[in-house]
Amino acid sequence: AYIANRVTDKLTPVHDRIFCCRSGSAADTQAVADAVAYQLAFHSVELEEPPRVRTAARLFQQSCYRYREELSAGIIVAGWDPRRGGQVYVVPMGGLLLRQPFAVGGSGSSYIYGFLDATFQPGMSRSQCQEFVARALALAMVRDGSSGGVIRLAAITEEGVERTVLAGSDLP
Amino acid sequence: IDEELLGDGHSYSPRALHSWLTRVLYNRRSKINPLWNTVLIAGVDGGESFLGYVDLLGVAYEAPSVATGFGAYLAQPLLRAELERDRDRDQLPTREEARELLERCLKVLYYRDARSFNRYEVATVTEKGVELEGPLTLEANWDIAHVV
Repeated sequence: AYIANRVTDKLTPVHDRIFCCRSGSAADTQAVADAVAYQLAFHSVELEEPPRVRTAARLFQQSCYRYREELSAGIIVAGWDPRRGGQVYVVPMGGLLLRQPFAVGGSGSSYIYGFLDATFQPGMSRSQCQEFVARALALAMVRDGSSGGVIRLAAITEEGVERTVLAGSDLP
Repeated sequence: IDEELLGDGHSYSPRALHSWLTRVLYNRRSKINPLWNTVLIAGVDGGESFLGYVDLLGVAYEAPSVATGFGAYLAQPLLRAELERDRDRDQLPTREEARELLERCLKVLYYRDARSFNRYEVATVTEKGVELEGPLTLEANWDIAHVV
């Protein structure tokens, strides 16, 4: 299988403090994410406050469920809002919406469920979370042929978004 | 190829081995029951170096450079450009030049082949025999990740 882009950025902002993680068809996820970003921008102007993460996730879900037969999109919505703080929602293929303490998706995710269930602790610190994610992704990248390249992290808090890249020798 | 068992001092030359393999693979494909492999043969026979290719279809040839799988698409052009660039056809590259060329090819393959890994081994075939180096690790450059 040919790797068209080895450094793709699959972490897409849909608002200032709300990101989505895209998996499945790149075309489908880009199209849906663009639509949701527009809807959220409009909505937050009407609301005159930052939109809720739950709202963003619901918007994704509405598109993914309505067009479930045509789409191939696995999406994780994560971010921070003043109402409920940091949240993670998963919208897998089929269009279900579920809030979870953490989420993974894509073909590589199958290989790391054991690691995740054995290692995750609620209430981890920021750096612990980043290490948890980096280790999980590195394991998936080794085993899954369809996973590889670099690890992109986006830490979203009340203060804002901080993006980092782990590549090559930086990987756990 | 259990010729060592006979101990009669005779062994297959690289060319003869290649020929035999071609017959085996081609006949299997002709019975619609292929041995699903691509084989490269590298050898030295009385001063003459030999590089051959045979695959599951029975396609077989000899060439200054050979490659399998993704290498046929990505590495061959690199190898051919280097080997056929303004030098006489009989002028082989030095061992160091060949090594450096190989590593460049392997790096490209690691970047662009989804089913690849960054570890490799190198076998150098000479009159004296086969020297295996490795496992070695490829250094990849990910600077462009920051440009995206």
